[in-house]
Amino acid sequence: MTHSVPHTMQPYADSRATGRTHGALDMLFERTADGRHILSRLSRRAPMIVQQALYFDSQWPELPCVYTLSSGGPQVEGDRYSQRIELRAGAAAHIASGAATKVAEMTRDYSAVDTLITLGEESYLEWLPEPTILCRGARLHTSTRLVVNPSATLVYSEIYMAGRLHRGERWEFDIMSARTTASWTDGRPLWNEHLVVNPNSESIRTAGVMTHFDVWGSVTVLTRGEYADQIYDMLPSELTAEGDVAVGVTHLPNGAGLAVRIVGDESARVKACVRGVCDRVRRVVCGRRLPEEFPWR
Amino acid sequence: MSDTAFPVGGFSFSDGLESAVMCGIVKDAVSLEEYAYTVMRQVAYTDGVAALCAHRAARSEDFDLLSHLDNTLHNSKTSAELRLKTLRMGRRLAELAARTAPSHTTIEWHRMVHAEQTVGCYAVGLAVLCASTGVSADDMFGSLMFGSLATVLGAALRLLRVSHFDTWRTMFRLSDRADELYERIKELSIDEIQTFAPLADVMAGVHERGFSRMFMN
Repeated sequence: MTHSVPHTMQPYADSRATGRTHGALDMLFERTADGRHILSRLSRRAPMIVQQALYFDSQWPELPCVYTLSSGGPQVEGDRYSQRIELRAGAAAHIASGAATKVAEMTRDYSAVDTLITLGEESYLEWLPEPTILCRGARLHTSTRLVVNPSATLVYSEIYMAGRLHRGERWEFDIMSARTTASWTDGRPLWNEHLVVNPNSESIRTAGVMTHFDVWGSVTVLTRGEYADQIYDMLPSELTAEGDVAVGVTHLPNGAGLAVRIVGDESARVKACVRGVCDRVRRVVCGRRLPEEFPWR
Repeated sequence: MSDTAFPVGGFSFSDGLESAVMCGIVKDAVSLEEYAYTVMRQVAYTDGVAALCAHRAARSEDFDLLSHLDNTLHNSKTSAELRLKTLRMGRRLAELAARTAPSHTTIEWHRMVHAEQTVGCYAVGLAVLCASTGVSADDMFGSLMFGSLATVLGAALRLLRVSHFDTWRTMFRLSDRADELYERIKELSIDEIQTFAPLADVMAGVHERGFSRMFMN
């Protein structure tokens, strides 16, 4: 897999970076003839680690739950990661990460993550990773392609923290550039978005951007129209009375589903909102609830 | 052309300001200026980039490229309210341009939009009109920036305790920053449109369901 340099990262690109880890992950989920949901193919290249599929979801015991990890510590300059996840027709899966992803300080080049998620007919995937922490001097580019059958449902979430907040580090990273595209499996484009955060050149603390908030998250729900309408009606769009978290829900273009935007003052509140969205989706699409989060997570 | 009095309906939107005021995010002239700049910057990096690309395509009458730019811009607008705004204003503008400044380009663009061969975003329609009437790309960009500010500041007069002096002072101050934005985006391609305004996105979502609405959603 080759990673071309996106325009936002061109000022930072530097082949002399010392990291140059090329991690890779490839997972295929299938539904077997006897109705089981399984992780049928797994290949990975260090430092990416995947534990075996576990079936610990109390509300959905047949659901394979997979934690991904990067064993090499934080992402550093020159790192390139590639993730391929495919669900065949009728398959279901829940993917999360074992811990937050730190993106470390960089002086040369940047770190990049390229993700392709492909969902077959009537398949269902929950993608709920822990937050990504953008440390001082971090430079991160992510490119995510979501390719779905119109009958499938994808819950794709991301949470970003503006630094190691407990240390008082905030908005000191160099750049975060996240490109996401969604299309039907026949190639018809549905939605595209490119978030670029450059705290050195743009004011972040202003009205309309982040004001006092330091954590932002999103949940992209690709699903059929009737489900999207039901889920939309179940989700709040509000700034809480305490002013600690704000949530906005909207319909994506081309009947692709919903986009949920969340800003908060700490990751736990944003994460709770993300899980709340996933719970509503699961209730509408699968008739089940999302279990309570484990107390140690 | 980009004044809210131009009959394409710009006066009826607030770009999320109504919810931002209700939630206390915008409460005075200072926070209003911040919010207006956020909106202007978002417009520059999305509609502005698409409009400059479309201006070049319209001058060479490349309608396939215009349609590609139009659809890509539309698909990049995550907020349903922003899509409603750009399509409603864009379709009116296409008709207005074909009737008041008829040329091969404006008439063909109107036909394509009317026949639903393309979605008809406002920024692309503005580029078609400007290119066919000899308005330069940089003047068009200035017009787009003025329009984005006029929408927010016009709405502010009805939502906040600010005066015309406040809003026009803000308009003049932010107009200077439009030049700086133009320099930053003028070379970008349609694949390089970008955004980052999480609170404005949230406010657009809040506005979709707000029960006290003076402005369109």
